[in-house]
Amino acid sequence: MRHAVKAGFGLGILALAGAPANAATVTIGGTIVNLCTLTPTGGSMVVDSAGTTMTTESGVGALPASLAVIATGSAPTLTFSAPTLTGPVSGATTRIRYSGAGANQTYTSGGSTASASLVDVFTIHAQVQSATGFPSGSYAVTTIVTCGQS
Amino acid sequence: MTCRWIWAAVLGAVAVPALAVGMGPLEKSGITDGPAKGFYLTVLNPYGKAETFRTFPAVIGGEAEPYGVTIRPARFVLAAGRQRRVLVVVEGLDPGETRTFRVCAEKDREEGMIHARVCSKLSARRISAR
Repeated sequence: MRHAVKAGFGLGILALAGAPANAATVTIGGTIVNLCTLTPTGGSMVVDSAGTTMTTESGVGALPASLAVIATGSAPTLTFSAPTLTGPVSGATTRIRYSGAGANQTYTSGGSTASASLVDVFTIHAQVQSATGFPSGSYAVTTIVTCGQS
Repeated sequence: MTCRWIWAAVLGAVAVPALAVGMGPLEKSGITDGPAKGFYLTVLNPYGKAETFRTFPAVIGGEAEPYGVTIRPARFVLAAGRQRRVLVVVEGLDPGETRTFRVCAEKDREEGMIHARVCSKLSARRISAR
């Protein structure tokens, strides 16, 4: 009987030692919020030697605009509105083209949509053509770029 | 090493101007049992100096103002590197109605060739009456 009691205690202690009495689940969570940040940098247009085209492509001082995209969550969609021209000229044709990591749009005078990567940089060129040339003054080509989910 | 250079290039491109605008989440939906529903969005000014931002509601695929949507505040100043929440309230929801619209944030006064704008797509649904 005494042996049986001792054996019983021994089994109990072994059981206590072996059981995962203090086991706990550790959970490491995380939340990702779909977010988009746009950072544009303006460009500069220059008139060509013929005097009928103003562009960011070539000429001394010509500089394309750029747009940095930083997003979290799903890759965002960028929507470019049709470019508008302000300045002392009428009847000119205004177009833009752009390229990014996964997008390449040729010159267009209409609106367009592009897929962007989570971290991306778009280079945007503008071109204005006027058969009658450009009177002196300030000119600006503007496009509204909207970041969102398609 | 190559990766480090890529990151340096990206950060360099981002850090130059002070015209950045950020907002999230880009998509959000919610259900309500009453005629009104609220959403919180976060607007960021991640770089540069303090700027004034404006927020405005718009219909999906257009610029028209959707019915019954107000944003508080609609115009505010954010210091560099700061963020704040804005409250979007949709009112006048009928039982069973779903109203989907956009809320956009942009710099109050844009300059330059690109006007940057970030828009969230919001959808509020009121459950049907029993």
